[in-house]
Amino acid sequence: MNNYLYKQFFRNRGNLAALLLLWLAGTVGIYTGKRFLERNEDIIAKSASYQQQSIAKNVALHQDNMGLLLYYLKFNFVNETPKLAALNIGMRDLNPSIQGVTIRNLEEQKHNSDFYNPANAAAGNFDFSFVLVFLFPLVIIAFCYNLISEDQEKGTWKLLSVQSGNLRRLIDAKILLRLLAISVVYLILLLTAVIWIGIPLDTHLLIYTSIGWLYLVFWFVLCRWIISFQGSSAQNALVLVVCWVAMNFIIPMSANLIFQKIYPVKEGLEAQMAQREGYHNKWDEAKAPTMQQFYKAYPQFSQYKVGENVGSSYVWYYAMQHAGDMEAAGAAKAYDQQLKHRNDAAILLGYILPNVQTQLMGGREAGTGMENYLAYGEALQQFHEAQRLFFYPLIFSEQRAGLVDWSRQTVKVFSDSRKSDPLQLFLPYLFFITLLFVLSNQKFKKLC
Amino acid sequence: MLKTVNLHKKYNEYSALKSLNLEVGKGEIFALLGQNGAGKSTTINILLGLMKATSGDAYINGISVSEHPQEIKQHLAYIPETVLLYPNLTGIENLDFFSKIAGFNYTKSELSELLLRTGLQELAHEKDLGGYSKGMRQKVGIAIALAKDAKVLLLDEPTSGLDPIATADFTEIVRQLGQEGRTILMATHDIFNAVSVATNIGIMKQGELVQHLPSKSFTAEEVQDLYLKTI
Repeated sequence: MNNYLYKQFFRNRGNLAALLLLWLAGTVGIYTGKRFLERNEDIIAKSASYQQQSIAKNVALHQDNMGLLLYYLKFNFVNETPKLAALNIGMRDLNPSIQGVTIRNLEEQKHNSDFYNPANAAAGNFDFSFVLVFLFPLVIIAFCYNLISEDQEKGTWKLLSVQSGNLRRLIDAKILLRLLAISVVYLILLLTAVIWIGIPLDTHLLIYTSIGWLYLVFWFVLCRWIISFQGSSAQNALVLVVCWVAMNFIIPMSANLIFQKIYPVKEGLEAQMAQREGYHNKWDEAKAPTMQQFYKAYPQFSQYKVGENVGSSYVWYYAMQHAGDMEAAGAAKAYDQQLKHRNDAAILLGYILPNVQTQLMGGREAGTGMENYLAYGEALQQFHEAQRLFFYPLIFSEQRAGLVDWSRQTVKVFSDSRKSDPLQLFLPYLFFITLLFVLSNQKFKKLC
Repeated sequence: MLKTVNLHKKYNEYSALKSLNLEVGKGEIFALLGQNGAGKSTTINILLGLMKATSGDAYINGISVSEHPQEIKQHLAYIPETVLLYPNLTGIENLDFFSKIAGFNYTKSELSELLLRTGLQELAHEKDLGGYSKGMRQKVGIAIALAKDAKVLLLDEPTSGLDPIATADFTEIVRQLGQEGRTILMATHDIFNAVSVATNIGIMKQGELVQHLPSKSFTAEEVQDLYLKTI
């Protein structure tokens, strides 16, 4: 029987065209990701030699002035970009995957990044995840909306009904065939990506592939449920397209507005202002309070005293820089907290919307989501602090630059090694797939 | 055999069937005559299990249709007024497909034989159904019914729209099926065809069986007169 279902499906040129279109869109999506990854890798690769060149040039210029040398020197810190990020660019196009920081105040530098055209951000990237989340369901809808109604409208339903003792099995065979066709395209695209981009065959890829496939299964089961009401083709198509629009646009956009209202992220500007004022005002204030604050944070440097009448001192200068960070710390922490709250809310939304879940969890596995951004921010702070602690004694004791082994100042890399909870990853899909399957089975019981 | 007991079907306030009692025995061909809306198709739909009776019940080989709507399908075959099949499959593929969903696996030569038995020329077997005439499609429909090897056949105006030769061919096949011992209920508007093939004729009016005639005792003209007077 399946042989004829297969023939019917593939003799329909529209079905073939849809599969071809999906494959084409997926390939373009993979190409977009590959270009992004190559650009990213190119920047990161060049940054190592640029950093060495910059260090060499500045060391030659400021051999005897370690304080001034460290004013200029930038140390690059890379947020490792997994190859899988090519399939889910996520926030990586907005947030830099590499940041160069001096040991001066961090808060000002943290949010300095390349200028990015907001128009591009609005449109988003046409990456593979876009194709998976938005386009695959449309083709699934096109394949399934009339699985029962087409036979009813063309007059074959009655004969099918009399011939078959189990129409549900027949409908399921049709759905399974379509799921198979879509899965083949999906897996071909992923295989293409693995070979073309060189994505490693690891747990992340396995999870990404699994959640993507479960997302596709979810759409098939949703279609199964909608068609089980035995509405007309037009009704089914309308309901399914409304589901698609609601799930992909109306609900996430409305939820985003609510999240913005509940968790306003105004602390970003506050942190910048606090840092600027915290640092700049210190020039006009007495040195003692600044230094006391600095010694409290770093008692190990308390032997480097700064008199009130001293005209200029790198100890005081870097203490002022530090004060800027200290005064912005509350706002900076609140900023990160608000972003985390928003992300947590989005994760909750993902539990009820498989498309959001696919985007979020795909981003998590590819290291391109908000969680990665926040983790990288934290790691950047630790890196910055480590650089400060390494260079402060050299600056404060007015060492010559030649004493430092600059070859060790290589580009450091942050690897996001957080592990996903399988329950959190798969449960929402399995819950909805099971629920819709059971609900549609109830409706199918009434099939003649 | 086929039986209805006080079969009643209501659509809101309108009664499409009113206490229909009908019995068609083994080897009998029962022709149901009546105007559009008389209740012929409603009767067939209830017997097929596609529609639920408001009250009363129908039995196929002693099995209650209302209690076992799936089980009775194993005993039934159905040929509608217009056999609608899949245009992107050939005639033989359609036959194979519909046989397989009924649980029958035939070899290609067996399928071909079934089609030949209905009078469908071999040349047409491998052609897409999109190019078939109505008569050819009806023949595939008969082949589907034959392939199911059902003991009870329900025919809903099967010769409607067929040319005289195709009608004669069809009538001959129905007669043969009756002679093989199958129980056949045929709703039709074609009085002459009914008289020529049926063993019994029933005339329905507004959901009731108002006449029940043994066809051998009447000529077509007599049945026609009676029909016109009745409706």
